[in-house]
Amino acid sequence: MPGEANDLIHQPLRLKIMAALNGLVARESMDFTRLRSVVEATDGNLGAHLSKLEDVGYITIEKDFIDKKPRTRVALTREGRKALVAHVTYLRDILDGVGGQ
Amino acid sequence: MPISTEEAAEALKNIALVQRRASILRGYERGAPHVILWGLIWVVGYGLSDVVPSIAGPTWLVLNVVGVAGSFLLGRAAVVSVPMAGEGYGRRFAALSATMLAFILATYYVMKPRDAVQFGAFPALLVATIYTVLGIWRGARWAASGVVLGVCTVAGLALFKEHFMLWMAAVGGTTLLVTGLWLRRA
Repeated sequence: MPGEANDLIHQPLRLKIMAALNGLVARESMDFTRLRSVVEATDGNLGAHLSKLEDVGYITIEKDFIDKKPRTRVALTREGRKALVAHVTYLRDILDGVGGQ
Repeated sequence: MPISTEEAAEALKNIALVQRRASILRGYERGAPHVILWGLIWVVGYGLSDVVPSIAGPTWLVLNVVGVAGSFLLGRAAVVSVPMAGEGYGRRFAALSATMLAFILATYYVMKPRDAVQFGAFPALLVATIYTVLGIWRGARWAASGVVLGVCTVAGLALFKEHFMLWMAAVGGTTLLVTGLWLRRA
């Protein structure tokens, strides 16, 4: 897949979010609190960035209740995975001196 | 806005760090129920070994079967909600437990422990070593727990040999239970 810069994903916390979710297999989602621990963000900050990613279709956010407790789970979409892979390829191309700057 | 080489390198490094952190936390989450299960088994097994030493052998035989079966069920339950993830996960966890038990029995056969304390101490030291080595690669919480368990076991041997089984039930079993809860909260 050719590299493609993605300013939306390149924001540091959003990049961490995408990277964390990319480690999951297809159809697997991550709990919001777990994601917060992984990317080391606050609730508000994480929520804001997740909204941006959801708006462009890179992630899905599902909310339900488990034993009457609200639960939020986040998963990468196929489009999100493709966008991340393209951006990572773009970053690697920069290091290889192939493109970017 | 163009990205510099330094920024690209930093971004790729952060991606690798996050993915490693996510993997470690996932390992903690999946390992926690197993550690709690074996903590309960140790409390019961070592406890009964102290109270009714004559049935220690059969007790541990039954508890080990429970442990292997429990590991299988817990492993399978972990992936029920994630289709296609970790096919055979339950079997692998059960195989891990069974392999450790086989190693312990083989070591008993080779080394021929002289007394009940030696029979009891070896598995605990083995688990402590495995957790410590696991922690070197897969997260500091495993290593910390392994070191604590190892120190507690040796302390029991050195200071409470006459009540070693009771010591391991209380301290060893509790260490595993606390470890499981600590892993779950990571």
